[in-house]
Amino acid sequence: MDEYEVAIIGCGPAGLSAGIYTGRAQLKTVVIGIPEKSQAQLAKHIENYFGFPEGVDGGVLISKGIIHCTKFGVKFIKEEAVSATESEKKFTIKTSGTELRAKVMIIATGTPIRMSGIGNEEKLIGKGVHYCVSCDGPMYKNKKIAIIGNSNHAAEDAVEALSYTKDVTIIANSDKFEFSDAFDKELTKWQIKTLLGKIKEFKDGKWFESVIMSDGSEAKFNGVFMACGSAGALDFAASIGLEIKDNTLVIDDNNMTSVPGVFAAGNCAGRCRQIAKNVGDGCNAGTSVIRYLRSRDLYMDYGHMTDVITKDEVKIEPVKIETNAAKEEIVPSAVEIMAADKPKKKLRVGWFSFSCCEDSTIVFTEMLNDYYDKLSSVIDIRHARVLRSKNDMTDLDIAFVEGAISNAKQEEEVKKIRANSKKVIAIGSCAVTGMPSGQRNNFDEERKREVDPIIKMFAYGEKVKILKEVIQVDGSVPGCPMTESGFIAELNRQLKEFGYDAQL
Amino acid sequence: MHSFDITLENIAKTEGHSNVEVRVRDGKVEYAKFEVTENQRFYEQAIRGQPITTAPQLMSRICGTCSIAHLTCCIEAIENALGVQPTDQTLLMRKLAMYGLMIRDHGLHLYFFSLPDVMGKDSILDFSEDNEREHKLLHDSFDIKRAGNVLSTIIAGKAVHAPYPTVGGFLHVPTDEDVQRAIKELKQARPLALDLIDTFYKWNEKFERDTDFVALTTKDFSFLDGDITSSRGICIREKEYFEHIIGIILPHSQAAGFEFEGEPFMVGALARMNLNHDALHAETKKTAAEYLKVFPSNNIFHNNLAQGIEILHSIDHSIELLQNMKFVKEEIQRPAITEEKSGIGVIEAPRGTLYYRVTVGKNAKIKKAQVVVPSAQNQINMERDIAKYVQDNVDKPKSTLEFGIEKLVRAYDPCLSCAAHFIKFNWS
Repeated sequence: MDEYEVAIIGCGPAGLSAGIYTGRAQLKTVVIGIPEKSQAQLAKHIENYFGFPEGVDGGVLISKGIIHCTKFGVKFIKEEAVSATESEKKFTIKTSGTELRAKVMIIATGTPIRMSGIGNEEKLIGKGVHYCVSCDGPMYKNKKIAIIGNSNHAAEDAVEALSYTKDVTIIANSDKFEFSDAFDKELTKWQIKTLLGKIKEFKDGKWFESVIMSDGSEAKFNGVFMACGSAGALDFAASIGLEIKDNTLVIDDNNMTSVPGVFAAGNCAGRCRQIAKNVGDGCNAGTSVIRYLRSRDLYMDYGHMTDVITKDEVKIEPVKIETNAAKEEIVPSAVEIMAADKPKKKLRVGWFSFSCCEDSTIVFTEMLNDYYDKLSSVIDIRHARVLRSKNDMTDLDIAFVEGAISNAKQEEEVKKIRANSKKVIAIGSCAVTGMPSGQRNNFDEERKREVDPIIKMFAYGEKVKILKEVIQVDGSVPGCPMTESGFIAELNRQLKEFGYDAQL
Repeated sequence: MHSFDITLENIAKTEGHSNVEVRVRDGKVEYAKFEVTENQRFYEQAIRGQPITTAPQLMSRICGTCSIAHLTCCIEAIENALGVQPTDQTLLMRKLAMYGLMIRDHGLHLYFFSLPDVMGKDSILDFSEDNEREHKLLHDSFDIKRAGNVLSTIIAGKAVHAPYPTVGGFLHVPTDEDVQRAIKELKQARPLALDLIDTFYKWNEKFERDTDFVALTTKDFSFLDGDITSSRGICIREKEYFEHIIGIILPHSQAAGFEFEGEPFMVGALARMNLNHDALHAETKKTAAEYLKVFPSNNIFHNNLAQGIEILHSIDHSIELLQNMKFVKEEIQRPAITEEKSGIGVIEAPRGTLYYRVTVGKNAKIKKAQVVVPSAQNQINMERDIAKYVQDNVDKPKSTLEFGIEKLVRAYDPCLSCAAHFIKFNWS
């Protein structure tokens, strides 16, 4: 599964604006969405956006936004995001065709919620009418439920609902279903029932009672889950339990929602529905994400530190796209940009050691005997005290950290490494399990008394910590020392995640 | 006359972490401190209660780069406690394991740590593939280290934390195919080692200070056994070594310093070469005759040259041993333990004399242990050298002094991962 630091759901002005900031800060960013569905894309002539006195076509603006993101290495997935779940401080995001993981999400899905128009829907929200299978599904264990919708979103929810009950029916509220082949097979495999036709209303008692179809027929369920159309902001957001108020996502001054690591920008976050405001919203969300991931209090501009990927390097062939503007412009389409999105630079790598015997460092230096040419073609060792006097820790792609953390000074140093690195990989047994460098944690009283003067004299920590007790760790190569094959496997995984075809 | 301070943090291209602080007032060096900043990991406490079968593997984890030395020395100490007399094959295999270590470890130090100083580069990674000389040296480094690794691997199982050496023998013996592969690698590495020796021989870096050199002088320069001798004329048996050294707590450092006969001293390749080069392999003495005229030497930078010659010796002696040995599977010797006993192990690790003293209880577990490592023994001598170097060059720019100190420290090839411990232990 591909891993990213930032996943932006939605490719309208807010999402693209956020992507420009996170991409430029060299955070590994993916934008998920279908440009053609952006409301801005549909705008024929925008007259009130800063810097375009003659007006600008919405399609042109979105395409240029995508070009701008691509320049900073942002990837695009032209699919719908259908759900997200959180585990181990990361979000797993399912789209209609793939699945990926990200440390943070920015939700920029545009205008929130379209109520389905089904009678009594709003009145019964929370009383048998729900929007989140993950949240409210457990209420219906072994009960009879319906999922309302005709798209992949509905199919996804139906499959998820099987965790709670086998009696699941999808009601299209439409004359046809629009499932992808993959979801169609899933539904067949799990024998999920489907029902075509429009819904007139939900029968209202004190609680939801049944679905009344437009032909007058009635279908009884214990509850229904709304999954109408494509995954909109609220139903997508509800899948991870975001707080919603007045049909918009609740955010703080940093555009962070009620769930740490999830940000929101644009129309789905409320306030005035203008492109200018949404671009600003994306900026605020993007810079907040940078601070959040790099544990910094202040945003700093990263653009001057890095060589950006220029448009020429991306090698996009300009194509003519249909615009609504009176004057047509020649810009690459989103699809072309996505296809041309390839990284060009060597990974900036650092190698660090703390409390350990540096055996994995030795294994690494010995690996150079056989892998020097291959390694030097894909990585640039910017910081390695064991190999260099002049070291540079700024903007590392990967920091390999060997050793356990045994005092406050080391904690401070490793946090600095974390703040400067997109990925941190724990290397060797001491970093991964704490042993044997952490053997004093298990000493009996006699031994503790013996070592106590040293602990106090040099201000050691009360206990020796493994790396992930101090900072977030993105991968590990265990072993005492690490095995060559384990390191190669992890490096290959990282190369793939950073978009490199080359493998060791 | 001027006053200034020098602070060097995290000295690069050494094993482990260290700082240097020098204080100069009115043109006089008030002090030079070499600070080992590695946090201690308390192996002398952790080994207590470990079975004799696993204790050497634990102690191997003191140091990644010279793990085979810790493994070998700990095994020797335990065997001496138990009264085990290793077989001739076991002793030869230990020599070969140590040779593999010396080739790889010295190779890492000379090519990766010190050679950039010779070539005016920050790192071997900056050597240009387009420069014929730099390209050759870069790839020579890989071939030499690989040869050492292959030798260690066929004999000991791995170059780092080797699994085959154990108390009473080896758990595995190499096949004929292994032996031929190692001989081939060693022969290919030999001319590269000569080129390396010549490179350091021609390096004009010099710093001299009269000091005492101490080493185990083995009859065949195999790093394993013999008597302890010093350049001031002391000759003692291995087991008496601890009575002639004294540990000194240095409040600024996480490693104890040591004096031999009440004076700072130096252990390591330069000491071995000064005291024992007559014992080198005949082929080595013949090929390196011109370079050997340098010794005895007080020039600390000749520690590099000495290491290069030790690589050549390790290659020559290993080839001879491998060509003449027929390896057979032997029983591991593990005598019954009827009473608590102590034993001492002393060997020459890459950076100098390594001392282990262990007590084995009747339950076949380690009751007490003490370790004295080479880089700790060199610590006070290094501080004296740094002080003299700065004093001799006090009028030079600070940046020159800083780089000069770094080169001096690197010439010692200190291993700070090993060095960091100084718990006092009262033996009864």
